[in-house]
Amino acid sequence: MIKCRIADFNIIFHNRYEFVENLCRDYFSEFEQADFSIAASEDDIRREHSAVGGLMSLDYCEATCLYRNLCNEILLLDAFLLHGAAVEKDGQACIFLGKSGGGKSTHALLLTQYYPDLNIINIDKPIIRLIDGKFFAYGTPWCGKEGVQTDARAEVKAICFLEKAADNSICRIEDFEAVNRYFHQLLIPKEPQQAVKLLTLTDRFLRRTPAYLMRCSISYEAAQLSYNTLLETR
Amino acid sequence: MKVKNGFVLREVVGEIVVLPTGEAAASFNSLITLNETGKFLWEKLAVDVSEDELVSALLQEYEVSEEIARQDVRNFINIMRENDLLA
Repeated sequence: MIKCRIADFNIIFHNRYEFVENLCRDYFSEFEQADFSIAASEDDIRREHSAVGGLMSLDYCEATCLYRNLCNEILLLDAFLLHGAAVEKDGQACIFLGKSGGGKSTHALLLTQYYPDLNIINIDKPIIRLIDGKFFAYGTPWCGKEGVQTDARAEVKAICFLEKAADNSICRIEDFEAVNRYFHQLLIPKEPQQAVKLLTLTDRFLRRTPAYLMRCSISYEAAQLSYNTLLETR
Repeated sequence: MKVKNGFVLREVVGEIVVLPTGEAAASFNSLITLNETGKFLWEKLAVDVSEDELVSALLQEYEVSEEIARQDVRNFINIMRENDLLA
């Protein structure tokens, strides 16, 4: 059993294996009162293990199940998982979204390479939380194969869908186009109550957050365009 | 005919979005967006209705010829069937 503070929630994980303890070490917290606790059943873990063809160990699968169950739980508390790279400057974040293997993490790493004033909140799966009408992206222990994250939060000021292209360009996109692209980045819960909550939060999030489409290569020019359009703070 | 159980319908930034949950998610794992007529028909399909009943409902609600109403309903039902969305 471990106690963690993630996305400003006090969480107890009832774990069987050690892997998740090592993973969450930076997020350990001593608190009196938990907001909720999360567990993964033996069935959950074995199902995950089968789903990955037995290529991940049971302890790694437990960690995946725990995060999935966590992300389901927080939906009822105005928070959700977004599959993208959250990059911040001065407390304001942009989240890069797009297909798996579409270059989100590469772009995020490129940005921080060229612009040291930037910070990666979570390179793979940040938690987004609605607090007092604003959406904040949070670092969490689950941060992709690159393992890049910061135990911090930043207000989301834009989302940007990335597509690979030879030339670099960026434009605002309309809500309806954003909706179609956006749903590919979400973990859709099976339970109707959670699914409805996710749709409500998504509606609010997209109404508030401008969406962009950037077509780009892996280059300094791409990082420059991205930084100037999305991250520069005046 | 009626829609399978488990779909949730919500408006998201002006788009009418339908997500499969529960048993519906077992056989369908995409996102559905509906236009206004689609939403109208989808909601009518919450209970067991016939194609004729759907056409009547459309004719009552919208100013459109019976021929067009029939065509629209037929197209809609075909798409629903193709995607295994009907119970």
